[in-house]
Amino acid sequence: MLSETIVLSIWPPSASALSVEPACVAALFHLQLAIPGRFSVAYTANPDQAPSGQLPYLTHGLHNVSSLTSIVHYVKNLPGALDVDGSFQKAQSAARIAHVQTTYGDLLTAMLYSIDTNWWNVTRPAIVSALPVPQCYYVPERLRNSYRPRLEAAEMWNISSVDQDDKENVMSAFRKDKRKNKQAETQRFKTVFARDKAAQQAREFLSIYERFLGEDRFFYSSERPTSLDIIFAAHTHILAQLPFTDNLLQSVLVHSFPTILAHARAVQSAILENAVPPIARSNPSSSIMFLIPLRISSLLRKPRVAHSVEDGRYTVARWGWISLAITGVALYFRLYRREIREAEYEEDVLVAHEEMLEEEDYEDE
Amino acid sequence: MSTLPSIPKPLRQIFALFPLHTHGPVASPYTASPVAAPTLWIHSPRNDNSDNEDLLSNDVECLKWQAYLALRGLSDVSVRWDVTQDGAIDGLLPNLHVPSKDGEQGGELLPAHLIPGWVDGRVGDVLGELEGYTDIAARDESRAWVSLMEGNVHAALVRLFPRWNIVEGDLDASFSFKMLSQPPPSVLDAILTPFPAKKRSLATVLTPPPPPLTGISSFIPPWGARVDPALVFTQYCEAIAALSERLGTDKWFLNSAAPTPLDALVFAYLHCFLHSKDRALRREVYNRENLVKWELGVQSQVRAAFRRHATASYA
Repeated sequence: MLSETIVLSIWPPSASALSVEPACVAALFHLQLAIPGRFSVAYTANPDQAPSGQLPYLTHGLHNVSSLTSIVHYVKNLPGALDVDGSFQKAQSAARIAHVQTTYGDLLTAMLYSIDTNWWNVTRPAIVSALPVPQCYYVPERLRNSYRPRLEAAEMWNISSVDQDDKENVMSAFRKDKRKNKQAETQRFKTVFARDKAAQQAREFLSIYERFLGEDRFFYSSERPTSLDIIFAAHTHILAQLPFTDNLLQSVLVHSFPTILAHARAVQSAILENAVPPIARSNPSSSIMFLIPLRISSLLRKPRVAHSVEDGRYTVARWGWISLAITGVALYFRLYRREIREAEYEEDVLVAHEEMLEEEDYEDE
Repeated sequence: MSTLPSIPKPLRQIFALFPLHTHGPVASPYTASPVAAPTLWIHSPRNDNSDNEDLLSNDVECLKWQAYLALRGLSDVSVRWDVTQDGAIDGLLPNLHVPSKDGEQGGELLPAHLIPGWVDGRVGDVLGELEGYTDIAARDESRAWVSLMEGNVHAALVRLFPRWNIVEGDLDASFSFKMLSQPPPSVLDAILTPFPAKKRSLATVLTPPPPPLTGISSFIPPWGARVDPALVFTQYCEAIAALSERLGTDKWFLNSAAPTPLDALVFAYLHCFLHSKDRALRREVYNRENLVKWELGVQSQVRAAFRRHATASYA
């Protein structure tokens, strides 16, 4: 099992960020901390290959593990893996990790997917650069729509900028005429209010964690990063590194919370200082395969398994049974052919007799 | 309008044939009957046996607010469950119907997010900025616990418990454990029920949002949500274990001196899980003795604060 390579598949990187999704960055950090040098990274933009339909996912020989929680569990049980958490304040840690994943995740996805200028200038090009031709036209929009219900429920969907200049940057290549800004005054006020609210939420959240971090290098005053550090730093890393056009929340982070930036840098340097994980050869599989939502590519490329003695015995038994069945059927037809034919003859005679009787009755009438 | 020219005389004479009468206000027979005590509109309670009536709602959101009202110290609050979800503000129960201050007819109907403000006005803002927690660190930690409960734990309630969770409203008979989708309403549904109940779908509860059943790269338009029930259940078990460990033997969560909104939230979820029809969910909470004992203690306090509304009509 150890001889087989572990491959982590994640969303492709963009600018100086390691990946576009925080869960992928967190998985990368976690693996690098727990099993350094024993895994490789594959960049893919096809989440349908994953068992749960979402990236990140891990392949280890014939095992497939998807989603960050399952990957962390799996890696913990591998022999020789470093226990990242230990028995460190597990209860509080679980709650805080959930808090970071929901709230910080919402803020980050609002920046990436909800604000129009960021979507067109930063996120969409990053996703499109890794997609083959038919998919690059419709998959990014679908991804954006999948985040919409959650952001609408959190009231962070309509926070695109109301400035006229920013709107002009959004023009796609096909639209040549200027679109007049027809937003009513009330709509503008609502958008401005929503933007302020989002910035306020970001400020409150980051100040909670600034207080929790205090003067230490990592959370819980530990010497090396724990799961909470990894997840928090993954979000901060993406929020700080991507070159956003509309940096509503990025400016809040960069200008008001230097300790949090320092924490993210410390986590990254602690984890990636020695080695960068090797990048596996990402297979340029044909785009037609992506259209079918099953993993047919893996079915077609079945690995050749070595035959053991028991496998050979089973194969012999299987083919023996099949041949026995066929010979039995053939013998039956050979031996009893005459009787079968006679039975058919009798049947024909009966049928003809009946027809004759019917004709006689008919003629009598 | 001094810039406009005045109406010419013959027109004015014609208009004088149709004078304008203003009639007095008509008392509508549909105003709400006045309430003497604050009344909470909730989803119906469980009520398995008819002689043992339960006043605690079946739905988690309504139960959260019931627990909040009770733990803030209010007593003698009526409950009624004959109002359907369409009749509530924004289509979301619970609502609180309070007698208005001026004594005018009808009273005032408050949506859920305005209940804390009303309670502060009635009981006084004794909690202050710390909201009842021991210190700022505890208050920060409570935010984390709230997001844990409303994320992973709520997903388990919604996902593994679809038939009996009224918030979802999806009482589709074929919604078995294996069916993972929540289809959008068809045209016929949209005609028959033009104001569907607002549902808090799985896409808003899970992080990151679940991918569509048909695959994100396929030519088939995206439909449904693909959720891994084993993962949701594992996260739920971890959350319950963390909750139990944090409670320990304290009287209230995070070692507060008095009940806090977090206690109301946790009680609502624990109560729903302990009375759920799904054995696995129930067993997970049952195995934690301290949680069960705590929930029993809070339950008696919450029940004592409510009584049934006298004049509501129950079909």
